[in-house]
Amino acid sequence: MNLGELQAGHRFPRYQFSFTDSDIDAYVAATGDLSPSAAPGHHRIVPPMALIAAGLSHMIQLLGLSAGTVHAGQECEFLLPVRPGVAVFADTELVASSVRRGSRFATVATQFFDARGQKLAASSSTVIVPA
Amino acid sequence: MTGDAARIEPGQRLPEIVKQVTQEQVGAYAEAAGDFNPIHLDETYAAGTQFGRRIAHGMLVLAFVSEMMATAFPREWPTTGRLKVRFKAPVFPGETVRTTGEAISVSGASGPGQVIEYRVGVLKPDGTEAIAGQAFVTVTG
Repeated sequence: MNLGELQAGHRFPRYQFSFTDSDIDAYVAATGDLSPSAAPGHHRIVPPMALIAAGLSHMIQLLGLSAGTVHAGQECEFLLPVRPGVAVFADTELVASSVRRGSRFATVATQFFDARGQKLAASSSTVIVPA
Repeated sequence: MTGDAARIEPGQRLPEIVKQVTQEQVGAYAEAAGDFNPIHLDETYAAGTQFGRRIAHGMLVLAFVSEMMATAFPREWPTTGRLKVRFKAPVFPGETVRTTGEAISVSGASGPGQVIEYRVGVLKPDGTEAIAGQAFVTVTG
């Protein structure tokens, strides 16, 4: 999939993922997140930013974004806590894509839902891709 | 300070989080998040970029802001939190950064439904803003 060939408004196929306790352990170890809800135990939830990061990484891989891609801006909205093992469904749309000063600026918006269709979170990421 | 919104007024600051970002941490984050962009990992590749060396993932550094908010608002942040930021400068492995969070507006009466807006950011060792933006939480009771 070539980002340069996609028009704003393009919708990507829905994808599904979930976090295991090991996934959360790895994220928490990497970020050093000491917030109480990230700690192991039955009250544990997926760190909200881990959900957003997973969506962004999926888009980077799907679009095969070039190596020099830089993250320019990020918006997030968190609506419901996500527990380990819960299936998350993500719908992503290319909101904007244009070339300026030799680089492509692209914004992708993702909405995350659970299996019952409840919205869990939303994200909008703007990246700068070498044209 | 905790998420006791009844006592929050504009100007109040959240406890900052100070972290040294290491290359090992960047590598661990790449594995955890599945983001293997060589600008974060490959010293030779990164040397040829505008930054001249490897940089930390923006989402890794942004996680520190989320941690700050989740620590202050453990109930509200995962269920009402909103964040809007720009990545203004790269963070290089080896640098120690700190988060900032200052309440800039508190809307409505104290109690459920009250929205608190924070100016948030991450500062590099020289005071340069690596990340700057706003965060919002809604008091849930």
